[in-house]
Amino acid sequence: MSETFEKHKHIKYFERCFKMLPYQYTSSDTNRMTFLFFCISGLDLLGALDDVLTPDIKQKTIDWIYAQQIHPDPEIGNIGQCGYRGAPFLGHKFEPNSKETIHEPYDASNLAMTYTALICLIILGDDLSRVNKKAIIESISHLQQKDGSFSPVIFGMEYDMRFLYCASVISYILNDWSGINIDKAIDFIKKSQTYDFGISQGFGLESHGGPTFCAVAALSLMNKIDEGLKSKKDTLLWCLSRQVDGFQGRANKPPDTCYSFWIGAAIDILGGYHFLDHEAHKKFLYSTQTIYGGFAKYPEIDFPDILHSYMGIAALAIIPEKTEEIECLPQLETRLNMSKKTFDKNFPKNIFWNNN
Amino acid sequence: MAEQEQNNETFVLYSKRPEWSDIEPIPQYDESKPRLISINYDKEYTDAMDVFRAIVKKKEISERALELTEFLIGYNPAHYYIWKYRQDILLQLNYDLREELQKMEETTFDTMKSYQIWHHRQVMVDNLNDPVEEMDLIKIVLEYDAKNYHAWAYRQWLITRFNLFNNSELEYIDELLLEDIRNNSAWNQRMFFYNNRPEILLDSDAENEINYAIEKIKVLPNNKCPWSYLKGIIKLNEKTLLDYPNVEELCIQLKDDKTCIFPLSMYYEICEMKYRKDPTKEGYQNLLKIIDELENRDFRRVNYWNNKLNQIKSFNKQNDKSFD
Repeated sequence: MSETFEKHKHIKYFERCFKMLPYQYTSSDTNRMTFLFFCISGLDLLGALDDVLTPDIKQKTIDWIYAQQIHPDPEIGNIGQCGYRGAPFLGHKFEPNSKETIHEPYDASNLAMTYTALICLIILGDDLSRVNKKAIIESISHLQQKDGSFSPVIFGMEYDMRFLYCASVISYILNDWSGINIDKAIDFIKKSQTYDFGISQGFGLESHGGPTFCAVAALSLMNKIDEGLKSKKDTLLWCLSRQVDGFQGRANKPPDTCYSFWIGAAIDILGGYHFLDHEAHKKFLYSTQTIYGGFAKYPEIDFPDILHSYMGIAALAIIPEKTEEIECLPQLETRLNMSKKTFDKNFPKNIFWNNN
Repeated sequence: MAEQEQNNETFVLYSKRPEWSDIEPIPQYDESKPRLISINYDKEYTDAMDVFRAIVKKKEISERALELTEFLIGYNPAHYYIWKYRQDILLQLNYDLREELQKMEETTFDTMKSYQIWHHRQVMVDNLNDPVEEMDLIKIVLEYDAKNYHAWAYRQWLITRFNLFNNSELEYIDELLLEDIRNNSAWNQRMFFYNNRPEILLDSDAENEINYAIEKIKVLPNNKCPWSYLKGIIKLNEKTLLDYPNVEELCIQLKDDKTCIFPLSMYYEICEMKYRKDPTKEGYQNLLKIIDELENRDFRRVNYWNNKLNQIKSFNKQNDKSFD
């Protein structure tokens, strides 16, 4: 709808989401941690985190995150359940300082929630001292499958590239890769590269922007880009070929706001961002902004959603040469999907890195 | 679903139903104040979740618990904990899983972009150890959305798990491509078929497939999919573009159409391979000419092609005989 970046409307949008989401989000009841990440990182990129969250609310938010942590059970130990829940939907008491969790049926962490919980803690300036690193790393090793991919939770048959990325970010932040069999992970990534050099969610599937980002970012965090990509230049060309004006997630699909991040970030990590047509890209992104603030998936959709709102802003933050309207956006630490400035400022507080 | 329940005036909250009177509901303790990232749930969902929390805690395996999961899935089809609970009940009470698959058909059509419904079907079929009618169900979903990633992933899992690499799959892909020649999911499925079937790819298979792609290119040359497929099949057959003169012929035939990018860019690739093998002056000048034209046609990637130009120029400089 707009021809320029509507910074203030977006701040208002995330401020509203932080307090209350409409009932349509009920179907994401298990994923509230990811919504917290979108709000907090979104406000941080917009330079408004300190204005919207008072020190007191920040502290309460940190405590809320820690209250979702699952520790090993004193009797049964760690059976792969440790890490973070997306929300207290199974009825757990609010215990942000506990060091053990009595195991209850179906209580299990989810890698995507653990990943976003850790990023939120870093953005909020926490030193991660209440994070149960040992338990999380041990659980990660339970979640890796024979083929090298990862399952998000300890039960189920759902596993793909998304959770390999989450496991990699967690290992990077906690400065401990012992929970991942890296050779197997690389093998999985290699086998998921398709005949057009894009990357898919798993063997045989169609190349897609989301898993392409996940694989490229995971490899970069492992420092294994050259080992993991069959042909770096061909994967880069696949990514560049996705630019229509905005980016499509797959060949011959319409451009969609979120792929400006998924593909844009992959291109950035592969060192090819200067090849893009930035003006056309920005114009597309501005057209997916809505009058309520936030971004929609496509220009013709009138209502924003929290995922596309965050991805739209993160995508603009990647652009190295900032024109006036997006000058306010900091550079992005694309592999972790957070502000580079905040990362530089807060990451040194991380006790798992500074004690080494 | 949510609205439907609200409109139904006879709806009684779970916690108020006599058959649930033995259960002490457990609320969601969300003690952060002010609350953050709260969802404005319908009261029916909050109430049913309160009851759900209580029965999960005691891991109740019962008919009423099964019914409750169905109600909750209506509100939240992505709640993988509820799905897992439902699966455990179905398996432990020895339910007819075929019936469950049928029962969940409507939910599948309503939530076809959600991971969990597909995962549920996969768990049922895996336990049944029988693909039942699932391939037909996927066809119906693909009629609505021929590029549905979950449906394709499930289809590939079924084909691999039950060895369903039949020619009928190729016929089905062909049907889909007749409907939409630009459907990359269908092209990918064709590659999946040849790449994963038990039989190895023979030279004659590769040639057939190359001819298949060429025919599709002739119908619509500016369509990336068959060009990628062509390259993929050649690579699968452990050959290069230079081994197939008919591909070069095709490029030459179509490359001057200014509305098309792909014939010219593949022609460029072939010419660059030849030039790097045998750097001649004509070869070099030809490459510069092609890049110049690609910069015009593939204008979003003008910087990429410009970079290619510089690479070729520096390769030329490294040669003993420089053609600049």
